[in-house]
Amino acid sequence: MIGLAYALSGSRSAAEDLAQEAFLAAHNAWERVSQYEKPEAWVRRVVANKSVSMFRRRMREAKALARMKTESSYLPRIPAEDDEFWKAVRALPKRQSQAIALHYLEEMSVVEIAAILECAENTVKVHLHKGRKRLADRLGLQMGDAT
Amino acid sequence: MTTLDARARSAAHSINACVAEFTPAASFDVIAVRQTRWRTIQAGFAGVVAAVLVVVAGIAITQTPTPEVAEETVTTVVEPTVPQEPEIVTPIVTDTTEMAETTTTSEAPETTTTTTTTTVADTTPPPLTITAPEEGKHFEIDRIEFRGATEPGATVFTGKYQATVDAEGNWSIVLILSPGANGARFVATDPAGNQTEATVTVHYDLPETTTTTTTTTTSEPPKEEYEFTAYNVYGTCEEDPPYDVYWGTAPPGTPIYVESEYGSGTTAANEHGEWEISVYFPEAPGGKEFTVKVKDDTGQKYLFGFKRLI
Repeated sequence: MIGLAYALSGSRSAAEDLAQEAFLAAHNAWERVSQYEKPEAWVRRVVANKSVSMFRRRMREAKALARMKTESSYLPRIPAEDDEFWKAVRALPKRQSQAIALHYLEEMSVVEIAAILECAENTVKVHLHKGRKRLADRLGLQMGDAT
Repeated sequence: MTTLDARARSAAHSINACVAEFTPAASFDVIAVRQTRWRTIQAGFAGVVAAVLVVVAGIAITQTPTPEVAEETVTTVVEPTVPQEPEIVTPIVTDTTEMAETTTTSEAPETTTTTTTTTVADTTPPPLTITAPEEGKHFEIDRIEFRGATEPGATVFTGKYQATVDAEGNWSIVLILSPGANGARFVATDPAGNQTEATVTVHYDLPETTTTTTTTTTSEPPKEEYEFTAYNVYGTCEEDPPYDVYWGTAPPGTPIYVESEYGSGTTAANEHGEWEISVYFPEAPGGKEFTVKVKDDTGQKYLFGFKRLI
């Protein structure tokens, strides 16, 4: 969950808060969430939605600044080349970035991603295809393996 | 040449590796444990507060006027009800004007004296001014410090974010603006629980992109990114005031309207074809779901449900 938040928000300081808030939301709504077949999918959806929300991400960063969180308590930095990849992912349209992150980071299938994003499997395929194509263009990479 | 999938796997590995090095933030089990601890703390806190109230009441009955009491007054008897939630008792200073009688009987039966005491409670809302920024001011940067003044000892919140207040009552907080109009609502609360609100609206104008030309727009992004879409983040809220965040895409500059019976807002899609807005529903009734309509200027609309949980 934290990895998903980190990848989609790009904020080392906010990733933990984002994941924790999602679990708290699940806890607070547990009566309802526990009835779902896969509660963890609900939490992932909350994390994905919260993480791509630019305004809230910035507000969390402001809150983190206000708390004077020490640098050492942030997530470790990732290599620059990999950071560049996730920056490109975050620059995608939101649904594409969410689908790409769930696909590569969580190694989820189209069916699983569709369940989390609450959309049709074909829609996920379109998001993945467009997202991957745009990433390849921006990063100067070949498309590679099939999705 | 490196393939996209190989690069993606490397990037995913980096994220997972760095997360693995970090202390796990939360899980269902951890949250459950934390909630249990918090309830224990709450129960303990309520007990401590009850004990403090009993002691205060005892001291007050015997002799001591509190600093908040006017010269001619002597005492008050605090309501002995034991509060169940710490929020209820946070304002230790009573917030109502009450009359109480305390009868003191001396050892000599013939010299009974009755002292009528009146507690003059603090019912005056704290002052709250916003000295910066000015109402309606436009900025081309998104990080702005809001400043103002209030009563020393008062707290100032905007939403759930607390401003720093110095000993003289000067407060400040840095907020991040979203593109377009930003309405900031501040609430000052004094130690007696009296509140004052103040609002200011400022605008964040996105910097002009001087390199925007026809050639750049034809290369990307594709047209379908600019379709009007809308999503909500929460659907429910247990904070006060409750709010939800709506976001989506639309052609740049498209006005977006969020409308409901209990709260509305408007924004516009930015130059990247993205929009986002937080809408508060302060008057929303608890437990009742209502409909929130998000529409663009052509009338295309999306409907969402929202329910206040408290």
